[in-house]
Amino acid sequence: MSRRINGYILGMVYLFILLFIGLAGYLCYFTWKEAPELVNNPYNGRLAKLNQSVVRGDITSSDGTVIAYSEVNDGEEIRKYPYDEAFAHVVGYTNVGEAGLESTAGYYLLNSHDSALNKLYKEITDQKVTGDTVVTNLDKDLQQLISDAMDKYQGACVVMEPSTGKIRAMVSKPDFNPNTLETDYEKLVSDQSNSNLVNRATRGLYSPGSTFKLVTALAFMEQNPDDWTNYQYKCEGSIRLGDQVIHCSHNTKHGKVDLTKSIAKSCNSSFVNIGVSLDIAQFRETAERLMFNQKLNTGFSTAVSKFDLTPESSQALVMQTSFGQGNTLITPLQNAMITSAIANLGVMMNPQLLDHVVSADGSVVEQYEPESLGSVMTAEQAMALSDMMMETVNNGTAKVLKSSGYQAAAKTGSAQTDNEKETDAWMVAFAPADNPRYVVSMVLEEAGAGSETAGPIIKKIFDTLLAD
Amino acid sequence: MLNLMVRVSRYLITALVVLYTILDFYYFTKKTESGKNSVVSVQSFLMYTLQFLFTVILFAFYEDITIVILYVASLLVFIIYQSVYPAIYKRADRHLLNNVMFLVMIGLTIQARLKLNKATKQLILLIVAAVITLLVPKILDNARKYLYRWTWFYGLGGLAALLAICLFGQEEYGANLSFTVKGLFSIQPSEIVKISLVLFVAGMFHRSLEFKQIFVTTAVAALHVLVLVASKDLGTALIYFIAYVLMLFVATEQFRYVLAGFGSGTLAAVGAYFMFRHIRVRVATWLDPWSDITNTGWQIAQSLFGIGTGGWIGMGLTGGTPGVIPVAEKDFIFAAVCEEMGIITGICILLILLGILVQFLWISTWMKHMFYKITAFGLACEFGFQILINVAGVIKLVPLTGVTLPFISYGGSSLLSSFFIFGIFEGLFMNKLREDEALERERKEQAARKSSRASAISKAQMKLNEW
Repeated sequence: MSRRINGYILGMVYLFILLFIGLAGYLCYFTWKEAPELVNNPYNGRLAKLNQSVVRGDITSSDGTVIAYSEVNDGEEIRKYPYDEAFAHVVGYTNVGEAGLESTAGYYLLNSHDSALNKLYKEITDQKVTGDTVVTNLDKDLQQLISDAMDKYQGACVVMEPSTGKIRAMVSKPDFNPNTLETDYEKLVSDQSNSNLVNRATRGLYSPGSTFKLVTALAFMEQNPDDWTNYQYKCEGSIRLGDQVIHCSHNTKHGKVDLTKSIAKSCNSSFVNIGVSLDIAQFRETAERLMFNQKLNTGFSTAVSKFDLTPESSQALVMQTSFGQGNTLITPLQNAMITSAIANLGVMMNPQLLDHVVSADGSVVEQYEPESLGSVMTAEQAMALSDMMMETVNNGTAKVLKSSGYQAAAKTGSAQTDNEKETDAWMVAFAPADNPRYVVSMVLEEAGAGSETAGPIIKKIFDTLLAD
Repeated sequence: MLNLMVRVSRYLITALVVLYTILDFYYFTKKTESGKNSVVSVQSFLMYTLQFLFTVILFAFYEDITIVILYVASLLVFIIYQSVYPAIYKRADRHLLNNVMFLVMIGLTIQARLKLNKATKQLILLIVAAVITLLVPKILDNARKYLYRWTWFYGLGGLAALLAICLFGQEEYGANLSFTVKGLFSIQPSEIVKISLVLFVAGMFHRSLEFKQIFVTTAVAALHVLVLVASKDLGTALIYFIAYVLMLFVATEQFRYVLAGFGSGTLAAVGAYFMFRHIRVRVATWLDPWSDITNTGWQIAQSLFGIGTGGWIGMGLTGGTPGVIPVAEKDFIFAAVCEEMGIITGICILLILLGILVQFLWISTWMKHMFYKITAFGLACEFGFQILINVAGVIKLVPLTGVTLPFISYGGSSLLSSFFIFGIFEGLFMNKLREDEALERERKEQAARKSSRASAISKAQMKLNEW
């Protein structure tokens, strides 16, 4: 009997060894994989303590140009931003609270993965060790170009690579100069109307206007897989259902339209007609697949885009929502993601600001790989939407993007926010259409029609990017 | 200067702790007494070096003479205990003793770093616990024929203590845990009842394994657990429960008891989840501490921040801010250790505890008497799961339940119970050696008698031949 019992006890020994090793293994995993992101939290006061022994690392653009660095004078550390306003929101600041990459990449900037020998040497000689360098995907010339071009507007712009999710530029206006933020801070914070410190590209929630018609069109294609190509509607310049009347822009009568022409001409009446035919539960499902009402997991701070139709919603709201008004709200980043998915045969990529982290001795600490969020529409649907957006450039509202050098695809929008005010101008676009390399999503507040204001800037962006 | 010292010392501390841990396992490869003794001596040296290093840093940080007094006093305690113990018990396991001292030293250091007066109190409690439990092996030897007869004393005594605390105890961090005696010190009976419950169960199972006996034992053990749940002391309840089911299994060798035990345990846990709001809050906090980080999520979030920011070699003793973790000195001591001494040291401490645990289980396989076998096994299981539940809670692998880390956490009852368990195993270990030696002696005498008889016979033979 005793021998058998000893066998059980021995089994218990093995179980305990397994459990303890598992626990230790999880601790290693936690330190290695989870901690770097987790400790970047405003409630973690320890990072400031780390800064006492580490010189904050550099932040660079994709070609290695330094866009934020620390200058040490007599032990006093001063953070410098050579490009002044150009990278203001995306890189952020660290002298009056923290924001942008200075906050979200704080763990790496304040940790040194220099060789142990170098570190020990510096520690023994009482020097601060050098924090890791964070290399972003940002293209410094592109960022500067967009920042300059948008200077007289309020709004935001995101440039993204659809196949990888790499963010090549992210601009928000109005901006601030991070080099003089400490002195300007009081003034900026007290100015409620402009909120210069907010990154509108990731946190600005805008009515999507007609750019949302791409979502309505996708829902329609999904709910009528076999016969959406047969869709026909005769536009009379407005549509009345119940006591609700929706007008097309300038009351233009578009005449007989199919789905492609409805997109290309941005026909409101046709999309109201489509919207009221949709199963709303499925419509919502489509929108949520495109990350509406979903928290993004990007590693930087983003607002949640909102789609609030339910089967209980009134017909008036369904009509409003279908052509891009209603209560729908979207961030410029989210619109870039949806457009990227169309450009990338239906696969949505997670937006990535960081490319890799490198230590002072040149070894790569962390390499960020493209991360797919899954297929949010079929390749056929993506290609169909892509064709419609091409038609918008060739014969529709986005003719401004016509170029002999490349074929672009786009959708314009002008979102009504207030009857007293000018509309917000939207444009989402990608090029070249047959092999999309860049997606641009831009909103300019109270700037009128997207084709007239955002269009020329996007044209300039594509001209520069695709010049070679 | 202090900063420099704190930062550089991290490498040295990690290296010394790793070396200590390697030696801890290297010990088991040594076969001879002198080989074992030399390993233990090197370990002692490493421990005293570490303690000195810690003291220098702490003194530079606090610039308070209390640190020096604390150092001298604890050094004396360690040295005296490490020489008195083997002097009283010449068969004592010095390796086990060493490890206990090492863990206590780490605990005292972190407590001194967190709150100086807590460390002073802990040192006094340590002396009390160490002196009281010095007698445990003696009692175990002298009363070994009676201990298994006081079954109902253990069972009802323990239950009464738990009930008293449930009804009249003070609430602390949302649970009724302790009595305070004249504001001087508080007693947390569940720590001591941990031992009496095991003694009760072992005594019952030793007497009989009939169904009726098992039923009665299970009922009393279940009452223990229920009273603890009513006192909201969930972690300890869980430890009692797991240990009981495992003891029941080993005693009866019936696997269905394990299934029935864990099955009803799961049901009870689910029931408790829906019945008690504080349990739902704990589970919610475990799933997502971030949405309520300033309130319910604060403790676990700060624990994770501490461990995560400290990284592999830590922020250095006094280099972090472990003080912002509520009850860092008790339930969250592991986070405080990791934050300032690093994950590597944290893992080494886990390995040292595992070594002790395996040794405990090993001792239980040596026991021939059912009472002592079940006692040793039950205590070892409690010890093991207490560590697992504590550390897994601190790193958010399981919901927080509020149990201490043996030998390291602040608290007299925890320390006393840990030392009690240590004393029991030392006693069992020595009893076994004594038995072995007695057996050996008997065998020798028998052999001698045999050979003398043989020689007498051969002499007689020779005489016969002469005839």
